[in-house]
Amino acid sequence: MSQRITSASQYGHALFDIGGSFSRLAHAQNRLSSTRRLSAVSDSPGDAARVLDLHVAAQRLTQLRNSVKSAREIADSQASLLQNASELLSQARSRALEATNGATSATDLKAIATDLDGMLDQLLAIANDHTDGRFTFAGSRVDSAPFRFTADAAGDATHITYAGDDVHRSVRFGRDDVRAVDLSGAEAFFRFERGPTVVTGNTGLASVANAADTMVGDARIVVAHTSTTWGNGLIFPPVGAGDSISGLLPALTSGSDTIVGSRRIVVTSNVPGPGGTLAFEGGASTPFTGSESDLVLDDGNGGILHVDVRSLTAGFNGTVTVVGSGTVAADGGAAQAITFAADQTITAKDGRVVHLDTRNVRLAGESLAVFPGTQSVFDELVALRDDIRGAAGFGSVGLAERVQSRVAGLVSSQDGILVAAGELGARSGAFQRADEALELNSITIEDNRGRLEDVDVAATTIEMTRAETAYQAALAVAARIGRTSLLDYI
Amino acid sequence: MNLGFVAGLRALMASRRVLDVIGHNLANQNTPGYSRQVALLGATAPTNGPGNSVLGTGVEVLGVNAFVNEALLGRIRDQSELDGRFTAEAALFADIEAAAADLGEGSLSKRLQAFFDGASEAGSAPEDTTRRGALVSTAKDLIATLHQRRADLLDQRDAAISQARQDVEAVNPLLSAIAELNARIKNLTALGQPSNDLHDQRDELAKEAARLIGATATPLQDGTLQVTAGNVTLVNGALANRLVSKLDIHDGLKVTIAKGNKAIEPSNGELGGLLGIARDFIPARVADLDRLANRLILETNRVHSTGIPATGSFTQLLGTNAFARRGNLDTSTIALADAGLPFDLKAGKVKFAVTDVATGDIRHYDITIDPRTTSAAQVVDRIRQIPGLTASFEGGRLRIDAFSGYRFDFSRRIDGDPVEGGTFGDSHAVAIGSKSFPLALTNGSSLTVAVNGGAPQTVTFNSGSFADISNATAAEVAAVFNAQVTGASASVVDGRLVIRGNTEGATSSLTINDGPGSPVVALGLPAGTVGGSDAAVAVRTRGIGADGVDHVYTFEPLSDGKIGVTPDLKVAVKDENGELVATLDVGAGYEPGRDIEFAPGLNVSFGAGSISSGANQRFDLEVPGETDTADFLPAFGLNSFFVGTDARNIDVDPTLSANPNRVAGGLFGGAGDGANFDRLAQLADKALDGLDDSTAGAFANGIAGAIGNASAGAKTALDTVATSLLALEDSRQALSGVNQDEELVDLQRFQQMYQAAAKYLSVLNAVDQQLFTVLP
Repeated sequence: MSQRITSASQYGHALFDIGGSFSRLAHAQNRLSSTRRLSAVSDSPGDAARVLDLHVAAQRLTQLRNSVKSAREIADSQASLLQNASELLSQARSRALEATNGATSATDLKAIATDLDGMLDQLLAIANDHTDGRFTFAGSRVDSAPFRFTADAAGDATHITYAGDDVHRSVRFGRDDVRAVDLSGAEAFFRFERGPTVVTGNTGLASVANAADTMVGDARIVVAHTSTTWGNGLIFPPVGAGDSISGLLPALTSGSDTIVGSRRIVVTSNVPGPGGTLAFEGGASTPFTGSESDLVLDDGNGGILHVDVRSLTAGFNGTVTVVGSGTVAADGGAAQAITFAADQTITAKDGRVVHLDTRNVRLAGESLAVFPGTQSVFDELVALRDDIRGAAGFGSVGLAERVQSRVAGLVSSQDGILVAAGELGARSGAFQRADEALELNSITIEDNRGRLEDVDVAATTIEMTRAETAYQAALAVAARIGRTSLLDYI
Repeated sequence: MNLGFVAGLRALMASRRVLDVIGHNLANQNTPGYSRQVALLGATAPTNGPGNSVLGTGVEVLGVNAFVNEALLGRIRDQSELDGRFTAEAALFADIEAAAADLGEGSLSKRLQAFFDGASEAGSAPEDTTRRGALVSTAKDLIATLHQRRADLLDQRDAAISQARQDVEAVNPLLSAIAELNARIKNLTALGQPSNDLHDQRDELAKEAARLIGATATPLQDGTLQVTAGNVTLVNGALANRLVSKLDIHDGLKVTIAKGNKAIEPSNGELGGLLGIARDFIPARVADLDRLANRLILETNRVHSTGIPATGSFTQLLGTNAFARRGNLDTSTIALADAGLPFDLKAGKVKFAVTDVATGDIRHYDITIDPRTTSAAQVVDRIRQIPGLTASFEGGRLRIDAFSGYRFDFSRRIDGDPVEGGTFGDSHAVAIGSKSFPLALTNGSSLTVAVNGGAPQTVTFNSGSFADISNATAAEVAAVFNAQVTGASASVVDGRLVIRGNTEGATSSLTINDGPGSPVVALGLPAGTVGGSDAAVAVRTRGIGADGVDHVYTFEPLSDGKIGVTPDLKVAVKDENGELVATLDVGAGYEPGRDIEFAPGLNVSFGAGSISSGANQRFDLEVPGETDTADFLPAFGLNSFFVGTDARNIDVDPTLSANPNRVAGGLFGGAGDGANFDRLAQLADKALDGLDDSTAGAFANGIAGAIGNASAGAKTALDTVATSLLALEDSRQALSGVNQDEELVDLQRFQQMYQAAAKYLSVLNAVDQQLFTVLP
């Protein structure tokens, strides 16, 4: 200010100062009442740019947290459904094992089969869960039930197929961080982990350890007797038709023999004749008179040999070897001659194979090969139901064996479901941790935003007080301008 | 009159005159622009006294001067120009900022992010129509914000222009008044009369003119003030040019002098500030908004157009963008680059994915486009050549229709069941030629075919069955075969001849033997017997190629055997150049049906069954890369999300608004497929072409920042100028201002002078009276 002061300049300064201090006071009041340090970009363009970025970041985090929460709900929902499925399978296993009790009546078996059928329906209902307008386990084909079944004449499911796809819902955590949220129906219920093949039945077929079987589900293995070859006395291997030493001959009905593989027949002639007994080595004796053209020897395990004893050498005592030849076929595939090998590959009609140990094949008949972990839990349950219901009609395979092998398959499927549930649980946990991390991020962002955008109440209160004081001072000064002048003294 | 009376009278008159000046000063002490005046006193010329003495004759007022510093006034006028400019700018920027640079919930970047978040949200439950609807709503919110921002900016531009016109109207009386004062001052100066008050008035008017329109004032020798704006003289002497304003489509407002139409382009003053904002700043921000909207439309549509809606692939699509109409010119026949489409096309291709609904087969067809040479009519012709599709124009817009049994889209999905015509692991007996067509056959050449062990049937190739037997096509060969053989049929698959028995199973067979002319060798058919099998190998493929490049992968068995059974059974995968991409082990140890990744992002699985290299088995898998490298889809507005071209006309495609399930959120076609929603959401992080390599959100923040910075800059500049003006006014007041105390002191001083003079005269009078009393 110049040394020569005029009242006009004093009033000018007063106005300037009043305006400035009032502006600062109003600004401080606005900030305090709105609790915002920045009310416009021009308040601090640099800070405002950062605030705008933080607003967007906070919004993205909010959306991301919503997505993560939604993802977690989906994973939890699927895991819960799979837990329900697992519990249902445990019930099914327990109920099925009741059928292995030899004392279970036909009525009880029927009831068990009916229960299992109901459980199958429940399992299907779980797999076709429809929540919030979508089928939970359908992949991306959420508008139609993913698991469909073909039914028999009675309307019972016989085979379940998956009509969904393997497209996942996903949640994006960052530019290159996309995580799958859910499991498709195939991943949840068709989770195959092939276990050791189980062969049951009394044909003598056995599975081969660690073989690369490719058949799935179960296979009906048919062992057929094709011919019986008689040896000469103790000579082995057999060399001709009929035994030239003992005089035993195959009966005309020997085509109905069921023995497969090498057997020894112990001949004991009465002294003096005629007649005597015939017996499979180690088996029960069958008496004969010497006139029988078709004597049936039964080893008590289903092994049948038709013998013509009319030419038996009088007084012959000894052992005669017979060898049953046969074929083996699986699931409608071509019958293959049994090679009595440690690892014989049998091919089904669809080209899939099973490796069988045929060294100890003893009987014609049917065995059941079960391939645990190769078919869906639904098909396992269908097979179990059908076995208990007796629909499958495996002649030589006992119900208990069948059920136990099926249950083994069911256990494998249940394991798969539990693994799937575990995966979902792990995802849910990861989502929870991610949500917690996002929450921390949100807090940090909110903190940073608040520091930039929100008012520091204490500091602004002091600032406002100072502005108010300055304003009052400016007013007071303005009021005193010209109060004292020469006029007071003239 | 004696000399004493004269001196006393002069003292009385001088002091009275000084008191008048003091009164004038006191009266104008608060008059804006007033410069204090001072009466200059001087002794009157002396006279000769007795002898050689010289006698004083009193005092007189030599003149009345004003305290004025012209340079200071010039600086004040300069600062007034800036004060006017920054005052106008600060006020207008504050309004613009309030309307278009929201810092809170209404910020454009938040609306953009809400849109991208909406896409992400929809992707988390693609089947949820509500979330799809919410995405459309967020898009409409964004659009409303863009529209509002644009309209607000243009409103502010109108307000600035309106204010500028008022300033022009307001400055004309000032200019006239300055001219009039110039004339009066000039006359008074010529008469030697003072014109201090007129100068003050003129200076104040000039300052106001500077504040309003940034006019510059220059004092001239003749006492007049010349007022100019740029190189246009507004006031010259007693003449003032009237300013007129006229709305202008380019400049918003054109300000000229009424006579001569000479335009002034002020950079300062209110007018300069307002015109700067109206002409440059606001149009630049509007252009930014338009650019943002334009890139958003293009980028969103680029992504959206290659997706698949929840309603599935299309049976019909009508573009939203029409050719520009140019009188009678048929723009459909000129190069696309000149057809007036709202978005530029590039040299490239667009790939149509056509689905045969009955078989589920997907085939891809490319249309190559060079916008400098390709016309829309040619595009239509090329689309019509795609099996299952036709195209036409409807009101200048491209319309594509699928024939019954076909659907189409522009996605990158692959055929999930790629084996056609039994060319790989079929249950029928199949013989496949290894040669490419066209090829040369000999007239009269023949081969024999025995079906399922039946009698050999002879197939003779006569030249009459071919347009040119030396360049026989696969279709011609197949036709000849089918005309002569029963129990088997020939077809063309992937350009090769495929002969397939009509029955299936392990017992089915085809025995092909060569005859005269060796056509079997020429066709590359396997000579001898090929058998069928009880079950076909189910081949399934899925995924999307990660490299974004078109590929045709060929899968060929390297030996004969059973999937999952035969040791070392392998399938070779080669790309379109014949380069080996992968060798897949599908023999013993492979679990039929398991996925194998053969290329990044792509999987294949093989079901149980037999495959054979000896029978030339193989299948091709088309893997599309980017499906629209020409920007064909956004240019024509096909399967668009947004319509429009800028912030003024951007909108959501009405078909999506009406049915959110038409939002193409998928890439594979399932109702719960949200892969394309994810791509849309990713746009939030993508630096966009045309937005200075910024993301859309950052660019939007940049617009707000530009407004905020301009506003803050104007406020800061205004504060600086105000402070500067205050300091200059202080200086002016120090020199020219009226100090009441000074004036009162002078008042007292000259009052006493007056009293002293009166007393002096009274004494003289008394002396004279005394003298009269002594006279007789």
